[in-house]
Amino acid sequence: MSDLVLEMKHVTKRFPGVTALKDVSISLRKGEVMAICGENGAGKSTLMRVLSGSYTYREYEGEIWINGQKQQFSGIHDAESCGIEMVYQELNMNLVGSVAENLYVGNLPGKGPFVNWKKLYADTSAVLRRISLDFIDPRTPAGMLNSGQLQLLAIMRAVIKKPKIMVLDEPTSSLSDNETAILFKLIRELKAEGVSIVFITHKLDEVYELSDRVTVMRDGEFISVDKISDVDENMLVERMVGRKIENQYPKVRAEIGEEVLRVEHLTVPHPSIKDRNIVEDISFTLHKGEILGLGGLVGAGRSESIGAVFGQITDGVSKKVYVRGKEVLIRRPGDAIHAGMGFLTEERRKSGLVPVFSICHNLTLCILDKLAGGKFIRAKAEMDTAKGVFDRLRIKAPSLHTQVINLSGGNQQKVILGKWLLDSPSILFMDEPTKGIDVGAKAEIYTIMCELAAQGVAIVLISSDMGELVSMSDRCLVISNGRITGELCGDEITQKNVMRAAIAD
Amino acid sequence: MKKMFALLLVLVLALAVTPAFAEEPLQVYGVSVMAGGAAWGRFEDGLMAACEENGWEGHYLAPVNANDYTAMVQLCETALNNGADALLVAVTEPTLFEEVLARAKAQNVIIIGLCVGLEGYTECVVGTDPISLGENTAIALAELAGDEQINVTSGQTRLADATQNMQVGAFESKLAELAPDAVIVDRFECNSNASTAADKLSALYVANPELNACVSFDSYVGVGAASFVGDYGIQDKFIALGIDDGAEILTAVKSGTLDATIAQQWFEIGRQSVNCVAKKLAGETLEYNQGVPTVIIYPDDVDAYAAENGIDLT
Amino acid sequence: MSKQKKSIIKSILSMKESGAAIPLVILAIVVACINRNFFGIFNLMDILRTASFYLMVAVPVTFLMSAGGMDLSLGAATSLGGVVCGTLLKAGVSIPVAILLALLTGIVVGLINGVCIVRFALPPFILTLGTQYCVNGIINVWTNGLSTTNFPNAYVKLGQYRVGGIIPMPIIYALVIALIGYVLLQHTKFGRKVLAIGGNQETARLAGINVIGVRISTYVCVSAMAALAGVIYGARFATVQPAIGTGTEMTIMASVIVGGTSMAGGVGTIIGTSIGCVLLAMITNVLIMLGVSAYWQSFVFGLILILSLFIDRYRQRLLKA
Repeated sequence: MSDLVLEMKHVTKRFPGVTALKDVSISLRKGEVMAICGENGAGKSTLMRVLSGSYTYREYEGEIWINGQKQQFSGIHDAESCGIEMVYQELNMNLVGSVAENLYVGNLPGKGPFVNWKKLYADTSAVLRRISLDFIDPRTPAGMLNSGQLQLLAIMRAVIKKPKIMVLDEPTSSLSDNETAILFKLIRELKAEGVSIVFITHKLDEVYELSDRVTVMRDGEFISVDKISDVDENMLVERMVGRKIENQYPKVRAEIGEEVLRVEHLTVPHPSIKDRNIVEDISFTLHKGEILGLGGLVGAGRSESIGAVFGQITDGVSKKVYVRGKEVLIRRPGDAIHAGMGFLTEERRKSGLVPVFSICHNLTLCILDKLAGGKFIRAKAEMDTAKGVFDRLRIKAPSLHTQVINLSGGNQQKVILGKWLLDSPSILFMDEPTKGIDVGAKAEIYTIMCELAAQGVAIVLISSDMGELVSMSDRCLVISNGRITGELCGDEITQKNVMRAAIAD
Repeated sequence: MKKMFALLLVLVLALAVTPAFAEEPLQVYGVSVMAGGAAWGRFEDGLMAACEENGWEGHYLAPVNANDYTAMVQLCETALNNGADALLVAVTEPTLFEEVLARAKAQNVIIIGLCVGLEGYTECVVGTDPISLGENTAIALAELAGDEQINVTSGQTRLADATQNMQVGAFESKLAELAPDAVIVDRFECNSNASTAADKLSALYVANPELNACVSFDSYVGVGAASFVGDYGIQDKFIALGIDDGAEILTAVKSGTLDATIAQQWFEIGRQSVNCVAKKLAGETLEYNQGVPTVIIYPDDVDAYAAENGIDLT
Repeated sequence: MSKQKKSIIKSILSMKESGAAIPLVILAIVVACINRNFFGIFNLMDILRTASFYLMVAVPVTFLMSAGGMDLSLGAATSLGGVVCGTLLKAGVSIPVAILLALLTGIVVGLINGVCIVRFALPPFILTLGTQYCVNGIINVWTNGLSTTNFPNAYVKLGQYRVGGIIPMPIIYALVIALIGYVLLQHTKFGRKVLAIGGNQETARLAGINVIGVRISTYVCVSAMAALAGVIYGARFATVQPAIGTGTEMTIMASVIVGGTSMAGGVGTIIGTSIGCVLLAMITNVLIMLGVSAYWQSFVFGLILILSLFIDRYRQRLLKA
């Protein structure tokens, strides 16, 4: 096949503890637009980093062939000289420098150390015209552009290097509809010029509008590649999520009682984009003994929703919270804890543990004021209290005095769980509780969750792990772009339905 | 672990209980405001020279941060603990030093005041006391100004420095006496930094164009003033008086950027204070005020003075 | 190296206070060999007295640093405390009231620091530098740079009295403060909260701890005790100097860090701070006893600080292995 511009053969990439790519092979034809789809963690970005030279040839197994010639990349530079340009999701712009300087970074026109500013600005204007951004002066500091314009700029930065293969990772994530149309037009032009384009996306409508073929990856493996006309959305979704679920999820349905929590009209402003909300007017309820799953893509607004309810995020938040029917004002975490809530955050290191403290001191962090002894801490009483939950959760460590940074991820998570349990919460929020934890510890945490539910604790489970979400939830809400796009009960909770709602607009 | 510490503690206490002032020459300790510099460096030389003549062991102590009076008190205490027989100290703030001087007296240590003393404790005071210094400065200035109206500013190390405030106060009073129409255009501090002095003088001059004189109570004010006068080229119009006799000051006087400098004879002060100790040991009665006069060095006097005192002007 | 020796070294180094303790022991041994005057009881008392003035303020600073804060204005607060007390005494106010009001001014300075840094999130280094300059400026204007003296005997006695004719009162004060500090930090809920905030502020906040309140109170404690130190300085020297506290903030923070309290927060040791204060207080004394010229003192001071830091780094690496 002489028009094969790229072949990646049997690529395997290992990281300590996890294999990100397992024997993946893909091919790309000249002038073709190829979409790569898959869930979070499927390996798409990793594969593209291999292609772009971010990982040197020594760091993975497998081969890269460009135009029928085997290549060995020792770095991004090597890949670039083969005509491969990648535009990452994290844009990497010098916000202080001008638009022109960013566009032509490493590539400035001129002789020796001198820059030909006139040519630079003229060229930049031409480029900007091509993407309908000619109202922007080339000398404007890049920081003044909005995220959509920055993304287009990043893409053009790659385009002007005249690549033969362009890789775009989620190119429309910050673009408005208008800007998306501009991008599509650009891609079609490039395609006509014979450039091959690979783009990673979640948005299936884009796949169907732009691409010639679509590749599906899952759990680090290549699943399928088809012409767009040969496969429909349903099939794609099935392949993206389909996996055998062994009984990793010891779910025992508990008796579901009356409503313990009602959140109405929760709105949270976006932390970085002005005049946008990351959570847009959502409302939900939670019942005694229920495990409510919260599904959605990364960045959809799940963690922010719970953070806002709990009082972790307060700036510009508007909400109404009712606990057991009575309205509660939550302005800070203390209020939420007082109302009977607990919150296991997504990032253990950042907001779940005090790293220099021992297990014992971490466990008693929420109940300090409730310990007997007035202003003092009675060491023995504290140890006894901590030991109770230490044993119950089967935390594996030499002693209660061990520093938590020395524990494995699973045990650290148990410590955090134990910390909240000591305060006997009636409502427990858990954000990605099994992220980065080995299978054994995961199962233990699931068991504990079911025990808690059986005792009447209401749990909200945020999870990006489909299997976990589907198996553990009694009810499942799906959030996309800050809004609830799906509410699934019982048998409706399937990976397919969740995924569909997660990528819905 | 705990046993090791207990052992250590016992060792320390054992050592503490056995005092040891072995046979050694007379210990003379000089304690003053700073180490080195044109003034106190020469003082130290004088002290050491005199001690050598007498066959005594001389030490000079000064705080790490210049003009730290409480540190000086602590240095005196350490000197006493180390077996000082004579203590030569600049009693910059009498009440501050009272406690340690009482201790010295109880230990029969001979106490000599440097420029400033405390009656009842110091046998005598050697040097130029702050009042005299201030007054001499006023006298020198009045002489240099002649009939012209004086608009003068004075520079010191720190505005919070009590001794220097005494000097400046005496200067201002005497000046008012000698030249009633003289105007004091503010005081400034330079923290012994010549650039700071030059900058502040510059700013004052811009704000007060009638400013025509500057006196120094810190050597570096003189250096800064010389630089300021040189920059503006106002040697003829501006009277700048330096203090002390460092090489840079003398050079400035010779070149005309400074009109004169008032030198306290530090080497002499060092020598004389040690001599007072000798006299006291010999049983002589000492006059309390062992004034060592200041010398005003005019441009014509510079070479001779430098030669006499071994100052290298190159 | 034999196994026994290795484990002794390891157990010594396992204490975070060893960064201060080791140089102290080395210095003591060196000086013991050369000049035994160092161990005269009055000399030891002098050193401990100097150290106790550092310790009075270093104890609350230990709390402050454990919570991740810093304060460059504590020297100015010391001067302010002394000046306020001195002025009030000269105006005829009774001693307890004068001292109380001096403490109050310290509290006000601490509140300003605390609110600006914690509530308004201003950077601590610059903010406290600013407070330092402001307070020193106010003092200068108020006192015109002049010291105050001639205080009632009872006040002077507070600083100059010696228990049993030997132990100066400031040592007693510092010991009491250190003891209270130790208990507070290790055995009370407040102390635990301070350490938690320093260890991970976000975790502490989410656990319901009143981060803002606790942090502000650490700033208030530092400035209040600094003011108290100023009051005692005035008593000890029977003179209130307007610049008495200048420069002390560096020495005090150094003694806390050298003692083993981490600037990053989460770990604090009052014992270490105490050893650190004694170490820094004895350096000048030891050098004089060894006959080292005054010109070298700064250099050696700095050398010892750097040595302490290396010991601490080496210690951390050893424990990780």
